[in-house]
Amino acid sequence: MSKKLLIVDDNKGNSDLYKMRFEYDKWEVKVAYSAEQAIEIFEDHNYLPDAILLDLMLPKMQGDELLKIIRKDQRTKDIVVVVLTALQLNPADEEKISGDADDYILKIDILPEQLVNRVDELVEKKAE
Amino acid sequence: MHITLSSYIPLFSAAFVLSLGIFTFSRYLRTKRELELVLSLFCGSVTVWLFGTFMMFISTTDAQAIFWDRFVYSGVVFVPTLMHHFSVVFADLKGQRKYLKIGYALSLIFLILSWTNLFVSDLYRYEWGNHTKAQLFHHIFIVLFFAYTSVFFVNIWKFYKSGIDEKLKNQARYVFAAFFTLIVLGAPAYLPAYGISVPPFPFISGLLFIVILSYAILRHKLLDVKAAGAIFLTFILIIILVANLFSSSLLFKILALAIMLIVGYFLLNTIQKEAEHAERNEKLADKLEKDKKELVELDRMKDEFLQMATHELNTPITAIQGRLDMAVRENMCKLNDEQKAYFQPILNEVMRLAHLSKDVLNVARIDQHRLTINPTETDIDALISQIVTSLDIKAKERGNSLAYIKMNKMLPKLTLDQSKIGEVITNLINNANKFTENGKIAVTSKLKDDVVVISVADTGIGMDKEDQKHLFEKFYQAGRFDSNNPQEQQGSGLGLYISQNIIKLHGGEMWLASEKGKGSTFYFSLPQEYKEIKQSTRIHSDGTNLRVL
Repeated sequence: MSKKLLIVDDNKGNSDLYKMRFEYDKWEVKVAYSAEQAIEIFEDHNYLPDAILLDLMLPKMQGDELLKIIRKDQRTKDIVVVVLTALQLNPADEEKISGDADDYILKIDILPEQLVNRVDELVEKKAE
Repeated sequence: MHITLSSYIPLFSAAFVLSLGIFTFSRYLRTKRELELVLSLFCGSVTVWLFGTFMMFISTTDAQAIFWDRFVYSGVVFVPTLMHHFSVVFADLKGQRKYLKIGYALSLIFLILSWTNLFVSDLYRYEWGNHTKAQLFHHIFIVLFFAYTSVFFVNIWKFYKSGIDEKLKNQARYVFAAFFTLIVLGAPAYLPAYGISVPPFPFISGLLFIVILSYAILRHKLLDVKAAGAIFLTFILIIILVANLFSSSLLFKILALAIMLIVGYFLLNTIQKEAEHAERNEKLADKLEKDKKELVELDRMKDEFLQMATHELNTPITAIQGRLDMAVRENMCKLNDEQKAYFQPILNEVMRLAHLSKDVLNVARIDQHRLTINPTETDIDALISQIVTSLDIKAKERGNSLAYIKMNKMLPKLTLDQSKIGEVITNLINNANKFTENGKIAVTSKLKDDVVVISVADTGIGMDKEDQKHLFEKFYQAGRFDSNNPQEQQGSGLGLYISQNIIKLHGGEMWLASEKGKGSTFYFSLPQEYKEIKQSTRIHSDGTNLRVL
């Protein structure tokens, strides 16, 4: 069975890119353009992915708030969450925001292929 | 002889000068400043002159008048020496100090002589008063008097001319004016000694002297006191009030009232000025506080702006870089060789742009002392091994061998920012790879004393001393104008600057050894015990690092 990914990113250019790359590696990918939409996907569609790529700057509810919600919810708390952002925070601030995340990656720091490998690695590790 | 208005002039002058004398002497007792001692002694001498003159004027017999005039000279003989002394202290003329003793010796000699007929004798009575007649030593004294006072004026004038400090220059100006008024206006008091009668105006000089000096004290902090003027004026008021209580003369009362009005006016004026001053200071302090807040806010906004700007840049760069990498390197679009060769440089340039965008914000943070690190306990061996493995392919592409050589079997766990130190090591290996072709790159680590030293050595082109000197500067690029070093190999010139600062934030150091044509070795040290490095001065923010989401 293919692994499932949810991309939460309001930037279409970036979300399309990652969707394309993950699908190339046979992942099932859904995209949410806002935190609210992401919650809707969990609730209404009962779609529980293996991993979430989470952007920090989102239209209404911010990425870190969504992360807290994900971690509180019994159904979603164990999902691998990779904070993937274009926002370059100071390392000390990164820690505060990404404390609950499985990884924190700056978008320009990672090539699509490396990202797929990294997420895959994290999902495998969690499954053990 | 009955008391007239003119006989009161020296008395009032005396009271004023005595007040300043007592005031400065009480200041001296607290501050032990020589200038205040000399000024108070000078005021004492002038008081003796003025008070003696008053007593001489109201003397009823010749013998009494002569006695009081000799008393006058007992003060006057010290005036030139004390003035000279004052100028020496005020203008800090160490060279003239040795002459002070001679001056005081002369004053003492004249003090003794003034009580003999060799100095003054007999009495000359004139319309407005009386005076003893000058004798031989009086003539000599007059010459010395003007010689000494001239030296005083020259000293103060020179000090004023050569001065740079506006405050001191202003003080010098008023000191000169006060003493000049005293001497020029007061000197005619000698004339009756030579049989020339003058109205008692010379005795007003004491009053004017005080007014000018008080102003200098008040406005130009001659005695380094803020409220000096107010205290001094109040003191004068009390003296006059007390004197008024004991006097039955109507003339005295009118004169006292006039002086009280003048002094009262000055006193109110002084208090008002002080109040205005305090008010202005308060406003300034408020403004300063507001300005500081604004600056902190601006500082924060600058970081916020840069963060937003790089965020906006990073988003499209990510998309371009990602798609190009998928198309060219991963060959997802099945490009032919010609197409690949066409797109590869674009990918290289976009990756360079991605680095630059990241570096710019880091450099701005370093410059604002805002760059922070997030240290955690780290296995440095594992970190280096992991990076070396991941960069191995890149090294091979340029025909280089890349190896990690451990000098110690076990390195202690270090507290460091994993991603930042990882960036430093990656940056050093990438640099080595950039300047080395078909050579060797060796990463080593060893524990020496309390620090772990990590080095990255290559057998590349190396660099000359000039390049080495500037290498860690912002935007500096080694061999920038070297024609053997094609443009595409160049970076932003920020990598080493950032790396060095990251190492400094960990309490370590970074340095290099290099020889042109033979290769370079970069070293950095990390202390075994991590201590947080306090970043140097910056506008202090409210302590919370603002998050921008």
